[in-house]
Amino acid sequence: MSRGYLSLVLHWHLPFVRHPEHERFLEEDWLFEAISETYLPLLSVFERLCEDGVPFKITLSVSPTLAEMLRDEVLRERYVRHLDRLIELADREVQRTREDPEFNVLAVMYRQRFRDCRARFVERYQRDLLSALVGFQNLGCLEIITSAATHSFLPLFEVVPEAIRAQIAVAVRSHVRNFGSAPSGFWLPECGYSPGVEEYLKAFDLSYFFLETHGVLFGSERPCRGVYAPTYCSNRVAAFARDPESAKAVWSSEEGYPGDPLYREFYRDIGFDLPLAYIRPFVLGDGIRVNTGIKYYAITGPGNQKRPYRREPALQRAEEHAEHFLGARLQQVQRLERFLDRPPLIVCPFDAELFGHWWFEGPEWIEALIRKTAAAADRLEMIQPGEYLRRHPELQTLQPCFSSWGNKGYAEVWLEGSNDWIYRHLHMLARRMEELARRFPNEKGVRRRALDQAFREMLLAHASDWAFIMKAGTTVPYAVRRTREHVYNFNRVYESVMANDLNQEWLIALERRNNIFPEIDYRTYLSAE
Amino acid sequence: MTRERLQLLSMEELLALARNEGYELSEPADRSTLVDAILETFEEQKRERQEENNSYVRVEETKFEVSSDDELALAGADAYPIPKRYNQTRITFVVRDPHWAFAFWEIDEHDAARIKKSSSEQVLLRVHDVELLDYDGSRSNFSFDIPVRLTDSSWYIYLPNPECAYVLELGMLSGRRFTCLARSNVIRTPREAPVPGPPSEGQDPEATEVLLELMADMEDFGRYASSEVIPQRILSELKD
Repeated sequence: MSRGYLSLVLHWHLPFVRHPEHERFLEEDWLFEAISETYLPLLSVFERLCEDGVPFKITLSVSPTLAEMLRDEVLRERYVRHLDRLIELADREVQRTREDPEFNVLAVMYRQRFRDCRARFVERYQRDLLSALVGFQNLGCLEIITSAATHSFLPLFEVVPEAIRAQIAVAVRSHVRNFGSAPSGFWLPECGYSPGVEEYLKAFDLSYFFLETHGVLFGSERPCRGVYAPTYCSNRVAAFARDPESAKAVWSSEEGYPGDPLYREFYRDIGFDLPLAYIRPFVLGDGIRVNTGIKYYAITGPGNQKRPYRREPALQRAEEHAEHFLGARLQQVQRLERFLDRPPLIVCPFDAELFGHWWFEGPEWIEALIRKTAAAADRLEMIQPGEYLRRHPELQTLQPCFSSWGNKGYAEVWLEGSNDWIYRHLHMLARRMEELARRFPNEKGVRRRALDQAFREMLLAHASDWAFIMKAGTTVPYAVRRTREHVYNFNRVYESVMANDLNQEWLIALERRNNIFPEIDYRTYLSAE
Repeated sequence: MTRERLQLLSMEELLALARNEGYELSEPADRSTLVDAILETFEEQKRERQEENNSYVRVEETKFEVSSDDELALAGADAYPIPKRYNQTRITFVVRDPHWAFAFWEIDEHDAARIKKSSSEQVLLRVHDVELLDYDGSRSNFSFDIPVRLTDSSWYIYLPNPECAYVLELGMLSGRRFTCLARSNVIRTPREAPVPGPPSEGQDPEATEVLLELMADMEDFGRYASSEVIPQRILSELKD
């Protein structure tokens, strides 16, 4: 047995954004950038490790909204078009920078990356990234778990518990369809935990979840092993708490690795750096500049003067940072082990989009970390929660505390002046959904479809992302519009069904547009009864 | 937001944007002054947000940054009209953190008409501490009142104790007589510190104390150390 365990958890999530009604839509780029910069690079990392026979164990949470988008034909097609545009732009960049070797080498690098993305996505994976993930799950390298159906921040829905249950029920069903097997664990969106949520998890055979450090630290008892072993809730669903020390190494804006001067600067993109006349074919129709992903500068320092990015030193630095991270974990294990009756477990959960999208060298850092950890396996072993629970079924039982990983650790990000107006509507939708499900227990035909669509609209409205964006301040009008749209759609279905006055044409258009969860069944909304 | 993008807008659009952003126009502004002012407002908002958000929120935000030219809040959201109210007398209580909770409510037309008719009636939120009680409306540990206006429909409420059960009544005070119109769900405020005393099971309590000490060195677990942190909405109301 190793002297310590490392549990790396990557959470893949984006909200459901799909606008077939528009030729091109800005917010769909969220998905395209994440595929190019995070998901495909991470798949490459997994492949290289397997090819080299390096063992690894990662827990991968894929949110149902993201999985549904990765499965969607319209978005798959649009992603390929997006890459074609970028390849064309990169071709021009290679030409434009031909006299300037510092930039030219970067233009060539980006062109190659976009070409690789296209080849891998279209040929190697046949546009199906989910199946690629399942392949790694079958090898035991990944334990793929699910999250709430539309990533709702569950603590704020305590008063309408059916909505929480529905988030879990729909998620599990979608997971089985997308990954071929039932998930064993659950990612609480934003690590948002409130006491009692474990009851719903248990009902769907989910045996563990993750939460923020103080969720366990402020539990009903002092955690006897700190956060270095999971705990059971009273129903034996296990809670894995985040290790604060390792989180800080990566997340801290002052000391975190991603701020290193050699790394690529996220905020300097040629979409904004180059003249509009040149970049015009690649901006949105009405002249809105967008990020292209082609970014030529290194972080350099705090000022606006940036040096050109150099790939080799940046990768070397990622390697050093991986070495540093591992060294710090080994020391941590050494420090902790004498106070524990078993090897300490260090739980490191991250939003995956941190790696690659924001921290460009992040996937290489993960790769280096895994390789180095494999070489130090006698001292630190990568482990997934399922395996940990098999090896160490004896855990302390305590009731965790309401918590999240947002500002100040509770619900402040998702409930404050910018976004509190939404809950009146979101709760009303849940109450009305319950009313519909009771009043129409077993409908068929058009009314059944209308009720199913109402269920979809309610779930889409409940996404935590809209409240998050309203608070964070990026692209707020879109988040407001999405909230209003789903509230409106739901209410319209509700009123039409109640008045027996359904506009079928409108319903068909809506089903085509918001087509998430094709197998949804409104009758399951109350099926616990 | 870029200057270039703002310069593409018409004067009417710029004025609308300035108004949306709360920029007060004391006198007719020329175009470049307006663009400068809007840019400055955006920059300031951005800085404020950056300061408020923890590193996790800042990083998560970058998932949604695909353009520095965000969609502008110019067009009305009228494409999707949603009700202001649902015409039900109801109050909902939502926990936010160990000391603050959010209440939202509605008073239906019938009740509102009754209140309006009587000029002596005051609308109230009555906050009850119901810790360890099976609350049935008759008795609470203690309570305090928050007078609100008939036009109000939500409020952030400071609650004295973490790890305590609270319930709200929405009602009318007529003289000394309180009439409850609606009662909320019971909420429970979360803890803000570890419980005292050793765990009842598991390993050596002294080792536990060392572990918790080690963790306390790493992170400030009094994340919510200052219970005086006032939600933004209340700050903005105080400014008014």
